[in-house]
Parts: sequence; C-alpha cells; structure tokens
Amino acid sequence: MIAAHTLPQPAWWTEPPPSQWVEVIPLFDATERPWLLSAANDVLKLATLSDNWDGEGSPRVQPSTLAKAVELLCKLATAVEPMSHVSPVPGGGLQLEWFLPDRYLEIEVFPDGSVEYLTKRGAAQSSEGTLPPEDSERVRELVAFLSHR
Amino acid sequence: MPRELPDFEDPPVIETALGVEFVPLAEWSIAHYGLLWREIRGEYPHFAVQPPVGSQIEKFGDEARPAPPKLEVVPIKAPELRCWFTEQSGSRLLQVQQDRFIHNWRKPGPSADYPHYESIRPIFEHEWRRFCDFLRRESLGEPEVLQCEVTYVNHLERGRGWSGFGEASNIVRSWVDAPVQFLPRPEAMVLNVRYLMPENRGRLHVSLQPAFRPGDAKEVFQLTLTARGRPNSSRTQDILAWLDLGREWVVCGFTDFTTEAMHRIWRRKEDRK
Repeated sequence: MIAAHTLPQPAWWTEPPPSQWVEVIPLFDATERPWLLSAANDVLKLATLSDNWDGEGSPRVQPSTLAKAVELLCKLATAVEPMSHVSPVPGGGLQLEWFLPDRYLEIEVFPDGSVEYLTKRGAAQSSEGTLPPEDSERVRELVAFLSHR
Repeated sequence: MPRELPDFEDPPVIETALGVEFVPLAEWSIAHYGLLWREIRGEYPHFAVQPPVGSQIEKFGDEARPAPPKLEVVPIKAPELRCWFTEQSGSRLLQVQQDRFIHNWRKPGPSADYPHYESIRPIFEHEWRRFCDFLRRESLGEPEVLQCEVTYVNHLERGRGWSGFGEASNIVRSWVDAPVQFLPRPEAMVLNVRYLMPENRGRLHVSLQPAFRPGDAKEVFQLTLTARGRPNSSRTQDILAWLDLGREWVVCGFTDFTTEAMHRIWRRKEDRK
C-alpha cells in the first residue's frame, strides 16, 4: 500500500489530447526560453538553400537534418544563453554556435543524423565528442555549460 | 448520419481520433493485449507499448468545482499501460487500455486526401463491436461507457495564410488585431478555449499551439479540436450518436473559429459553388 497526496486539477486547465498520434514539438511553452522560437526559425531558413549553395557542389540541407537540429535546440532550450548563429556546412550538414564572452559551444549536425560538439572555455580548455540522441546526461552538461559562468 | 456540414477540398486535418472511455475493466490484464492482438494481427501487424492515457471525464456545474486537497491511500496495482496496434499502411491505429478504446486516422503523406468522417465512422463501429465481442468471449464483461471523444488535429503550415506565430488574427475569426498604443504585435501565442454544449451534453476544447513537425521539418500552428461528452447509454448506437454530435461540434466549431481567408486557402466547398 502506498499513500498519495492528490491535488485537484484547476478547473480552467485544458490538457492536450493524449490520444494524439502525430508527433510534434511544441515551440511555445512556459518551460522554454524565448530564444527558441527565433533560433528554430533561423535553422529552418536553411531549407531554402539549393544544391551547390557554396559553389563547391555541396548538397542542400535535408529536412531530416533540419529536424534533428530543431530537436536538439528544444533539448537545449532550458539554457539561459541564446544560440548565436547557425550556418550550413559542406556536405549537407549544419552548425549551431553559441559565442559567449568566456565560452564557446559548437554543435555540428551531419546528414546521417549524427551529432558532434565542441566546447571551449578561455584559450586553453576545450573538449569535444559525439552527442547520441539517448545521451540526456551530455545534453544536461551542455545546458549547464551554457547557463553557468 | 448527421446533417450536411461545412466541407473543404483541401482541409488542414492531419489526424482524427474517435474514442470511448469506460469504467476500468476489473479483470483486464496484460495477457489480454496479446490475446486481442492475436485476433487483429492480420490487419494491425505492428504493436507498441505506450504509457496509459489519464481519465479526462468532463464535469459540469457543481461537480466541476475543484475539490480540496485530500490524502488518500492508493493500492498498488498491476502496471498500467496502453497498447498501440498499427495498421499495415500506417494510416490507422487502435489504442487500447483498461478503460479506453481509441481509433486514430492520420494523413499518410502530403498528397493524401482526408477520407472524411463518413468513411471513418463505419471503421470505428466495426472495431468497437469487435472489441466488445472479444471482451464477451474472454468473460471480461460489457464496457460501461462514461464518455465519448472526437478529436481533429489540424496543421496550418507557415506560409499558407500566416508567416509569424503572433498572427492569430489571420487564423482565428474572433481575434482582432486592433491597434494598441504600447504593445507590438505578439511574438507568439498559445490559445486554449472551451465551449459548453447545450444541456451539458459535452464540451468542445479548442487549442492553437505553435509547433515544429519533425517529420518534414516544418513550423505549424497546431489547431486541435476535441469534443467530449457522455452518450445516452453504453449501446453502440448511442455511442455513434454522440460521436456524430461531437463531430458536428468539431467541424462547425472549426469553421466558426477560423477566418474566411483561411477557408479560401482550404477551398471551402460552398465558396466554389
């Protein structure tokens, strides 16, 4: 037997339908940072690029790569500091960057869905690695890196 | 069948759900998911376990007032879960749990047409009757139905009638973008509105939510309409009658809630006569 303290749901509360099947990521939520909307929009602008956008034969950024980048942004959305810049990279990937006075974070999303990151603190300290989708601990570390001086 | 309702040639609906909530089946166990799947596997070859959907019974009048916090003892039960049984084409889904039965249709691709309620209703009826037959054969009893639910999920893609998440006036008929002295246009908004059906027959919930659709990396306003209410009895005909009412509220509610400019984009049929 267990004891549970139950609180009533507010009368005004409207729950989203949990029976929904199609998956979406809400972009406006009390737990998210305001910068998420504009950052997601910046990422999705890359959808307008065509093949050979760099004159070197690079393919366009595929929707799956853009989706991966926005999903990552949503995971990082509890961070205080907004994303500074997004850019396409040769080969069809894209790069998200945070330029802070004493820190730098770079996340590269590749067309095959893999993700790599690089952090720098000052001139000397840097670390890099992969960011598998199931690695929530690494995401928490990156959120902490962006949020604490 | 219900009267003729507003119709669109290119509606933004990407998913519908017709569902029933009933008193939890006392003898239902995990083994019954497997027994049920054995019967429907030919049509629903894919199986997935999901967390259960919580009870969402609509309350009216005095019973809708929030109850004071209370301390209660809850007995430990078998783990609750919900099972998804997905049809081969990936466009239809059955969701089953101890107190719930839901049939979902989702748009399989951008060019696919919405099959309309008139096609989905008989499928729901067939699957519900089959589920009830299964319960009888397994001596699990007749479901005592508490509520029916109709949900339509619409995706309004950026660039089709709106370009920013603050542009609710482009979409919502009752939202007026009146000039204000200080505030700029909103950056983004979430709307949750609910409407009471006459004689407390149910409630219609409408929500407008900025969202990102990972499948094709598109920004959308997700406009969801959910009607819930209690049928006159647990008989299938009464369940269907309530679903017809709920569908009428969803479709007429959708048409009333949205602007004529959006109706032109979705090609409302009466506009083309």
